[in-house]
Amino acid sequence: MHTYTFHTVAHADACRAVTKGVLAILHEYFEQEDILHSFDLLLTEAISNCARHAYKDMDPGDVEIVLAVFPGMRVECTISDWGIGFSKTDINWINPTLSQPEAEGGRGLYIIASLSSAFRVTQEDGKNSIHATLEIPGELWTR
Amino acid sequence: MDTLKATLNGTTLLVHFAGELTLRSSSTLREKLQNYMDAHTVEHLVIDLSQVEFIDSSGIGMLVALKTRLTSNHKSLFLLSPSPQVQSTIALVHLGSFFQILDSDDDVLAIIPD
Repeated sequence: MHTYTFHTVAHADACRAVTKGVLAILHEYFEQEDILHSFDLLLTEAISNCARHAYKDMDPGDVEIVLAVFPGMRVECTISDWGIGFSKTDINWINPTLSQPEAEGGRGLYIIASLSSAFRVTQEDGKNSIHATLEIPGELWTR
Repeated sequence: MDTLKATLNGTTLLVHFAGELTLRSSSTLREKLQNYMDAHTVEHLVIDLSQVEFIDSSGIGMLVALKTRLTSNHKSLFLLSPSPQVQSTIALVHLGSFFQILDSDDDVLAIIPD
């Protein structure tokens, strides 16, 4: 297993920059554009979620991205913040569903869950984490 | 770097956007387009997405909001030649039939008389 850890701040300007850094690492393992696009979208949504919601009415705080790469098998992505925590009332965190087509928001978590082979959220000691695992068939790995 | 070019032909506003439609850029683009449409008579908004390298749920939400606003005013939004990445994300959130998608400039001319 190879583990990579990235830190950034929960701000809109930082979301894409750190995601592109993570993708540069993943490009060492995969060349297929559709696989890299899935990681790109999943990570952008998760980090953007922190920028939009985690530190609402607060100064932007830290975001941590941990990749655990199991070559030939899977990548486990964990995106964490130390903000206000996940809403317990209005979002289905276990099985996210799509909002109505006319709704402006409410698609980010659905995208993350849809792109993941396994998905869950945890809250522990003030650390709020989204865990997303992507199983990648062995023949698609280049490393 | 994101670039935006807008051309008004009659009442059709053709917008070419190149770059990424994300949390960072979507609200700015939306504000610019709404300000432009407030200042001009626009019946049809056509957004060329062929040079959009990446779109996330914020970008999708911006397009949905534009369409909702235009439709409520009996106007139209068309997406022109979405890039493969944009098509993939639109399909992922099941909005392929929500948006009116045009494949070429000829389709624009065929649908919009002016």
